Amino acid sequence: VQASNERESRVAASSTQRDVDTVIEAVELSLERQAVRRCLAALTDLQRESVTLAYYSGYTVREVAELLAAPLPTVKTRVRDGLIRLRDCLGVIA
Amino acid sequence: VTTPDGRAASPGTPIHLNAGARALDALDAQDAAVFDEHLAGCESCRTELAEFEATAASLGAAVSQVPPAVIRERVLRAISVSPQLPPVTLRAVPEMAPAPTSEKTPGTAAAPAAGGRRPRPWLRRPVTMLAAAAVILAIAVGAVLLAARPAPKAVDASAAMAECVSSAPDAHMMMPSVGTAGDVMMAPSCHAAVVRVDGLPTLPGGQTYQLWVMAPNGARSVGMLGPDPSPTQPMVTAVKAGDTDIRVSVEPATGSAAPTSGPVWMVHL
Repeated sequence: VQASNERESRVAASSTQRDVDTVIEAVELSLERQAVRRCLAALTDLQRESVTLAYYSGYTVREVAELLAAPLPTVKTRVRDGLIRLRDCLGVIA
Repeated sequence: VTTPDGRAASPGTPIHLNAGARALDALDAQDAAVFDEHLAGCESCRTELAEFEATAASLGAAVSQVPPAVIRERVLRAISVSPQLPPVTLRAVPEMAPAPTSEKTPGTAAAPAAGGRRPRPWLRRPVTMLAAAAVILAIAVGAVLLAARPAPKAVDASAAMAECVSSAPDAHMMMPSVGTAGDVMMAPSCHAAVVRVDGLPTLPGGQTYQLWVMAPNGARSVGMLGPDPSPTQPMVTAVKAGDTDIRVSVEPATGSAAPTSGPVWMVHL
């Protein structure tokens, strides 16, 4: 209860700074969002379809394969190739 | 990259193909377990997975609607659950907060940004304070974002109830029999109600309005409404079969375990 109270206090406290938060968040998000959009657009249609279904829609690759009536290894390959392309496009360094 | 060992997760599937799906958390539990086991002896797989996971994180960060929605729910809930704190306490909390679990990522991410804008070393006090404020802020934002991120599906119970009520076909609005304004949106199929209390006078210091769900075997506190309830801060509460009414009473500022005075606002269930 103590911990949850503290957490709620912190959440409540952060909300008092909402105006600034919103600005920072909006700037960072809009830059990152532009990059992601650009990079998603650079995928093949098939890669984008599989990545989107597996990530944004939360399907497993098996479900994606069933949805698309495609072989499972094919879908896995599309997802992996799509991520390779996204990684290179976004300049991700792990 | 071809698979040197050719071990398969499921028949005919080279295991390395799974790295992408694993990073998106899109493998079946069994395949995920096999892949994770394989990771232990495959350094290139670990590198690739880490890169993919970082990539996936970027994909997630770019969905602007999700984090703000979660934040809004959490803030609304925090507002509805927390007793009102004096302003001094509110300001003190973030200054004490950063030390504990606050993640490093947002903090370190903010530091270069602040440094980039002001490349010169130590400056006057206001700048230092601004920088400190920026870091605290970034940590607070990061903490909220990170707290929200790992379990987007395990939505907070109150938010889930509110969501359920807002879309329930059997949701109906009930007006108070005691009190002049506000309402209860009751959805039996959700076993929940959204309560908007309004029309109550501001209480003198040392007192608060407290919201209750009354049952034959006693009262359940929904939370403190503060001395000046506003319908723009709706409360969400579970409602069980047999509950008789939702009411508001005047209580000491610290709240009570059960109502100590009669209802000043009440909706019969």
